[in-house]
Amino acid sequence: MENYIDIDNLNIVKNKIDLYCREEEEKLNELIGTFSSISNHLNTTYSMDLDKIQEDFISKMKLLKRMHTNDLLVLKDNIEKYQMTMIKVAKNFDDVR
Amino acid sequence: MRVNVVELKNDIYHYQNIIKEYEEIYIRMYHELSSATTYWHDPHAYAYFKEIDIERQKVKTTLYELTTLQEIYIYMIDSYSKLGKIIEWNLNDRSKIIKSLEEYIGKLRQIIKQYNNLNITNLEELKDSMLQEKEKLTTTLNLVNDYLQQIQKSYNRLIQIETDVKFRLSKLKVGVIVKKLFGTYNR
Repeated sequence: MENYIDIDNLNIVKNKIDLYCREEEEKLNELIGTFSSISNHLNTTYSMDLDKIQEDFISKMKLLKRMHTNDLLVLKDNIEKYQMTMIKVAKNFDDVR
Repeated sequence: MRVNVVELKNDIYHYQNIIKEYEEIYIRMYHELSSATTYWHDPHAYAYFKEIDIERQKVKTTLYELTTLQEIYIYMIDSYSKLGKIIEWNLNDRSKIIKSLEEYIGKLRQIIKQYNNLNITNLEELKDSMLQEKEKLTTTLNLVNDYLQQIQKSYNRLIQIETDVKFRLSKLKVGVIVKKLFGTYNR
């Protein structure tokens, strides 16, 4: 298959992913706050087990968030590199001309 | 031990909303990432989108686990709210409290028995008031008996809830995500 990139549309995707990453961060912070509040309102014999599970979820979701941030960076990076290539090609074309 | 059921209910309500919104974000995010396959074709893109599919599965698993935790929270709320709004208990005091109430009941029974053994046929003046006092003691005995049964039931219910939640939590495994190695998708 021929190499191909639609920079304009990929930029739109990148911007949307950027927005979702920010929303994800917001939800993660809300979740951390809710877990903490649950622990404050619940003092039982299983509290320690529950706290551990909640901490595991936070770690797991933080890692997922980092993965999504990286997905976004990859998109950004590739768009920039393609743009650089296009500029170089255009420059070479002008030089030859 | 202490559970503030009202506050806990609010927290669980927030938790449910967060998970719902989280899921919506993920659905939109992966839908958007999938649409990018139309706009980017090269060997790096192939590796990138393959990884995105694996990631999508990881998020799906996490959401399933978060929903399982949500079910445990709902069970806790349903169970505790039947006992009260703010519940405080100490299982170490259980035997002491029950024993004290049983002794009290024993003493009341003893006094009522003594009333029954009294010969009041010739005590016309005192007869009515003594019968009234005996009636009061019987009412108190019944109340304390009901109270004892309620306390025993509440303690048993609290123990049952703790056992059930512990069991449910022990079944909930939060899967570990191995940190992926980046760098193969860039040109």
